[in-house]
Amino acid sequence: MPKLGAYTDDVLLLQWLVDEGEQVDAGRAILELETEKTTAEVESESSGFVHQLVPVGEAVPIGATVALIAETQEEYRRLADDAPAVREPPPVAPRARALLKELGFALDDAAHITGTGPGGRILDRDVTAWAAARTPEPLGGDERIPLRGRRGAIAKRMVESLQTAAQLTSVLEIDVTPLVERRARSHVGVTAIVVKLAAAALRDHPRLNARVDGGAIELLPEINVAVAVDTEEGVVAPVIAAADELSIEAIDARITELAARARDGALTPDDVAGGTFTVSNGGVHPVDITTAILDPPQCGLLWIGRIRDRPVVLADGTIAARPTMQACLTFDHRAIDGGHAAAFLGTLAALVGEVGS
Amino acid sequence: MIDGQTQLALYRTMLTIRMFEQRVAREFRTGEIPGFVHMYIGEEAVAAGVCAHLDDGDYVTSTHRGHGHCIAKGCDLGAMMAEIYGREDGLCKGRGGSMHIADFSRGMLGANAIVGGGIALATGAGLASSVRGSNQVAVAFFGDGAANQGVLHESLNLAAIWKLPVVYVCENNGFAESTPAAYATSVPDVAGRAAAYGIPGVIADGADVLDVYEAAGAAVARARAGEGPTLLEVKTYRFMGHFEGDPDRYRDDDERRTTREHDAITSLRARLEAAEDELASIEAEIEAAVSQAVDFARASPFPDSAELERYVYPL
Amino acid sequence: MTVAAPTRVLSLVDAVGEAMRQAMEADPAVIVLGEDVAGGAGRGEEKENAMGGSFGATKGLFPLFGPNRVRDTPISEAGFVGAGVGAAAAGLRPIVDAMWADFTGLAFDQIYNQASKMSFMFGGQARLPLTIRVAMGSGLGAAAQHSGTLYAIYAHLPGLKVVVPSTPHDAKGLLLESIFDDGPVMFFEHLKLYVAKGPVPEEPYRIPLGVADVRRAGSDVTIVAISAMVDRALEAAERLAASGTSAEVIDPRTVSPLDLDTIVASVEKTGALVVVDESPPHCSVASEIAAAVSEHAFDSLNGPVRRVTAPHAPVPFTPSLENAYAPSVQAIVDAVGTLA
Repeated sequence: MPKLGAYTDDVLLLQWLVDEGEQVDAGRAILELETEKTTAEVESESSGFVHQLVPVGEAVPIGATVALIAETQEEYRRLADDAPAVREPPPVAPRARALLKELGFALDDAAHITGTGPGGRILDRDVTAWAAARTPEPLGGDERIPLRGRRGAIAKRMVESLQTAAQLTSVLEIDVTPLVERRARSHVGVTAIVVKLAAAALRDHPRLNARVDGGAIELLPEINVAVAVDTEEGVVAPVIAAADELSIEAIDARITELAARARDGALTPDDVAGGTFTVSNGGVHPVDITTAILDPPQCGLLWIGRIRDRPVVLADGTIAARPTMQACLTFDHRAIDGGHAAAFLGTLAALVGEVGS
Repeated sequence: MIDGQTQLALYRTMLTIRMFEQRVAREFRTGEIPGFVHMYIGEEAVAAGVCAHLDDGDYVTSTHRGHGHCIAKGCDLGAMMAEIYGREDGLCKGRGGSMHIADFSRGMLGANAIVGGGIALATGAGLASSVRGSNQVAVAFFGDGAANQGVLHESLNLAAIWKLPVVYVCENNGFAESTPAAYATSVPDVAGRAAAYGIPGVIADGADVLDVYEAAGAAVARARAGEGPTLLEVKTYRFMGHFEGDPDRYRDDDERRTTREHDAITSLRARLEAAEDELASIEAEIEAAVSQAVDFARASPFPDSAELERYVYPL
Repeated sequence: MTVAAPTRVLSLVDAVGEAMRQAMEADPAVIVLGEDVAGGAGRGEEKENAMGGSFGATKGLFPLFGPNRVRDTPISEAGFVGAGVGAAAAGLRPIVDAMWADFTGLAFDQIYNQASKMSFMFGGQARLPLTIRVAMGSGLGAAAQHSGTLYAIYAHLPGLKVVVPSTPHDAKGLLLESIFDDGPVMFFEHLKLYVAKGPVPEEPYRIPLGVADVRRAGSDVTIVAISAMVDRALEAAERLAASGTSAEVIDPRTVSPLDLDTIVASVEKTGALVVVDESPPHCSVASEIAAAVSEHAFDSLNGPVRRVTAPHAPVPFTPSLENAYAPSVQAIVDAVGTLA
């Protein structure tokens, strides 16, 4: 394994460019390797029959022998018969083995470790060095928050969601003056109003109250709106069942109750089951727009930003300061096209206009 | 002249040994007794005649054929039998068996399965007595086979130069397992070797317990008086094979018959001045005691294998 | 204000002698027997106590305790070692000087079949407070039959205890403990260490049997060494320190009972073990330590346990061979090197 000028001790054998036993002329590229910075081809320096010693994907120290070129067929046969085609894995000392287990690695991981003990034996210090090199030092300190429990579940779900649904976000800026009035008059929260309006809008846009299942779009009969709640362990989304049938006040009370339970860690599985659409009020923080991630198997999520006064051009052409909000609708393009999404947002804006009364 | 009481006591001791051994031989054939047993039958006069001069403070060491010495030294029959049966209530908690039977509380420092193994030990016990300035005596019992062991000669020499209170009793029954003393020993009388060490060598007749008693008495008295060791050879008779189960092919029927004619017990019985019914009641008593001993042994449990390492070191 | 008295320095042989004297002062049951333990026996006052033992350990005892308790013996090891066993069984506390370890062969039945087994065979009836002292070790040109170590053979026998001190301080404390132990103890004194000097407190003191001494703390490798090998291991540790390896040196002090806990704790820390034993390797104490550590601390080991021993041969006479017999300091350093 040649040194290519890059200062790495180990290099990855990416692929063999010839077959085992193939006859090559000097100068022929026989393998491809990868360093941290680059990939490169390695040529055979002599002609003959190639006997591979190292399997693809293995990290090899610079200077290690990765193949032998036999001058004759006979010599090749001898090589191929005597030597094992794949190099014996180096021995792992008991202490190193125990340390691997303690650090949460599998014994198989030893295959990636270079041993500095006699005969290439992998010692405890080799395991320590390898483990330290894998995890980059966190900036500024030693704090590590394990991806376990709720955090781990969220992490898993988010990645799964992004990998499954074809999701994208459309944004509509809405003048929420009536919503603000209604909030003041009814002593209800913004979230409750938006949940009610979104639920009403979903009646007209059933595609957004659906899920993609087994190669089909399943339109769901009930409108159960999940409401995102921030807790110390991460976000949870308790469900307001049949939100379209409840009054804003009822929804508000329900949200208050569920949020309190969520923060106490007292939500039951029933509380978080059956959601068909999610509303997330990101505006409790100073954020305007977010491309939120769908909560699978839901096809739609309405994320609203902060309400703030913005200059708005009125019908008569003058500019006034009005409370506005960005309504960000994330949708699954497998079921919903841009037009559907835009239509939903339009309905929502219209409903906002009527909510003051 | 040995008084009637003493004679009766000697008779009782010998008969106890005889009946105990006969019972052991019988029970051994059922397979209930593990390992090996070596019967003292025919040699009772030696143990009885010598140990009659000893008390609990005196020491004896013995051979693989040690039941007789144990009984003559006053050991409990039940505890002895339990040891032979390998039970927890045995003298040695079942750890030793017949060949290592011992009772340190009575100065019985053990039967020894190494031929001659007890000789240096008895010498040491005599040394302890000498250092302490007590009048305790040690007796080493050994056979004609051990008469040729090096350690006997080292011990006789050591006891002689230090004038130790030890009596070395050679029970010459003419055979070391199958090898006759006539073949193995360079001289006809082991006692003759005493001269080589400058100590008295005495011969006694093992078919006559009173002869043994007298000779032993003199030797023990010498020792207690600080005059040093004696080598006492008793010509005796081993009625059974070397061990129970020994086909005894090195002797013929005539020889065995002749041997058994030298019975110290019957010859003493004939001379005793005691009444028949007294003798009969002694016999019955011993019979009962031996039976009781067997019952006691059978009722005692085997030691627990969880205690394999117990007693390896003194506590 | 109290000022600690300066500890005076004694040679190992004198420390051993002092232990015996103090034991005999404390307990009238303690006696000494062996060849030439006084010397000039029976030749009259001026010529008696001419030797005080082959190496001078028992010098001074005869004048204090007389011929009753300090007894020269004829050359009859089976006889006088056996007498020691019997005297112990009968209530004395004898110290038998068998002179050279190799001579115990003559008394092997007394030690093995009698002394070591008596407590067990007799179901706990026997107290056998016997101490047998021997000299061992190569380096004096004493040749094959006067140089063997042999402690492995006795360590193998249940019922015996085997003591191998390496300093005058340890020798005195361990010998006093051995004498007052109620079972048979084999006490091995190394010929080359007899003249070694070290601090020894004047008053009697005891060191328990079965407790190792960590002579030097370290973190990279554990070196266990026996008797005269301890000093070589310490020297090796110095050389290793100079090249950046920190060695922990442990003196087990007794090989039966063996303080395995201390050795295992050390190996758990260092991950590497070298055992230095001036004996042929087969069934040696080094082998026992290696096997026991492999069983109890396998997952702590970075590599195999290395035994550094004498060759599989008796001790040779000629210096060119004898000087190469016992493990050298370099051999210990090299052994550590193979584990790096």
